[in-house]
Amino acid sequence: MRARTRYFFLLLLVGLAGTLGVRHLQRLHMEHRLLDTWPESAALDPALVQFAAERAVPALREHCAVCHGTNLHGDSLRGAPDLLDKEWVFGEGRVTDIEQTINHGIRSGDHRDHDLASMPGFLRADPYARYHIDSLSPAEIADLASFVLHLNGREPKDAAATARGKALFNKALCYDCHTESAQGDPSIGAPSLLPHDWLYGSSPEALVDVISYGRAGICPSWAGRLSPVTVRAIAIYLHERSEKSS
Amino acid sequence: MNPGARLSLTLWGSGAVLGLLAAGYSLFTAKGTATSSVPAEYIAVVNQSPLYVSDYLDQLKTQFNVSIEDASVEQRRTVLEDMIREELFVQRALELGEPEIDPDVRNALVASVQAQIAVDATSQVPNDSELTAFYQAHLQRYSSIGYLTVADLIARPDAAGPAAENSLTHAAAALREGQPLAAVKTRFGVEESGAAVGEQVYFAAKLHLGERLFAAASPLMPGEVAGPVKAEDGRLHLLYMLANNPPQPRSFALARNEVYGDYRQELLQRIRDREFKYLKDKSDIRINRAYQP
Repeated sequence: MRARTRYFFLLLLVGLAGTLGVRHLQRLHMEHRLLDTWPESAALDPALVQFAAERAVPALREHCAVCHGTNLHGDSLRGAPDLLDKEWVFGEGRVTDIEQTINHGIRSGDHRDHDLASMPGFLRADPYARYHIDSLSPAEIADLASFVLHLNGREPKDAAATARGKALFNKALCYDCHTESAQGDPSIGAPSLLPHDWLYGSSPEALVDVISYGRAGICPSWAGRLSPVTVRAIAIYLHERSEKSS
Repeated sequence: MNPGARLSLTLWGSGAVLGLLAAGYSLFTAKGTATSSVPAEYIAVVNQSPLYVSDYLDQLKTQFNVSIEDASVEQRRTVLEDMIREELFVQRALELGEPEIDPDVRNALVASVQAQIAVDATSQVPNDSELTAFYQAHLQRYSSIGYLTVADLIARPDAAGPAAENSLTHAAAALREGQPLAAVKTRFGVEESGAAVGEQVYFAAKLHLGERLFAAASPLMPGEVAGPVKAEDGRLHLLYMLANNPPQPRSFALARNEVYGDYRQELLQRIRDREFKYLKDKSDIRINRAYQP
């Protein structure tokens, strides 16, 4: 009887070790598949998407929630964008775009980060560090804000101010980054000014402050601190959630 | 010697020769020591230095603006060849001791180390209490830029000396009594200098009016008058404030992005200084006495 019990526990131990071993091998296999499959193709494979989600959620909670919020819907106080909607400040939301941003960050100091432009502070004596742009007066900033609010779909309080703001949109070179149609340019991280939630809040006061004092958001680079598998998993997960968002 | 011992000796000898051959091959060709398989996160391994898949994908995007799915075979081959070429040349540069002799390489290496420090500084995301403390400690830095509209009045060119001072003094008294600016200008023969026309931000007003006039103007409330004040140009001026919005502290919420940028910059400087001190302390640095500063 005692020998039988001993065999039973031995068998249980072997079974448990075997199960753990098989699960470990399966995980390794999936990790290899995740990296070996081309990124956009991996996002079409339900098994890989499922595996990516299991891997991504704890990593996002640990590393990204501090700025983007626990629900990942962003934080306008920090200028941290919603990671689950269809809008992408940098890139077009492809897995490779997201992966590049995670790996190298935004204005992170990494030699491959996104750092081609930032929002000038037009009320300052020297609005932009990279090249010369003329300052705007407070009245001009108010006019420009009126026009941008109009672009954002709000009813203008002062039609004349909105018309003057439209002229200033060209004079102040806003179109250079945000494009003439104000749709924005994701290759340099210039957000769309058309109707949608703004990165730094949607109140007129916040808009005037953004135009007056500028903005330059920062996101750390994670290459070397997160494994390539985790980075790929996060990119696939965010791509998937973004695609499914309404 | 019996046949068994001979066989044993032959096997030992063959083993030794094979071992020497393998060692020699490994010694003279890097290929001999290369791993046979490439890990999934690497696109290639060149003399045991890995080339990352993520770098390859970035390079494809930078060079051809395509993802790997859309890239042609030729594009993929070109990028891979470029990366291998770069890696081989970097390895060769190190063999040749380029960092010792080429100032461009040295500058690039210094910039690279500093950039790495920046990356490390960025990875330490500060919490709100740290940022709020920084904001409170540098409150003035996060004030709004003030702006004002001031009438800078001078006597007409035909009045000089005591006559000019007299007309400005009377104009000041009239303005203080609340008489309209246009009427005062006509009645006392004063006109606007044209130095600061319309709404001006403080730094522009300071530039246009000069230090002395700006110092007299900036504390004025709307409707208040300063002067006559002798400006840097030697002329007397009268300052009548029409609107004044002095700098106000911006809320932490509005200034947060700037606070974070400045906080990071200071952290970066501290880390760089610490790194330099650490390297200096652990190094053996001897300076020629003749060149000792």
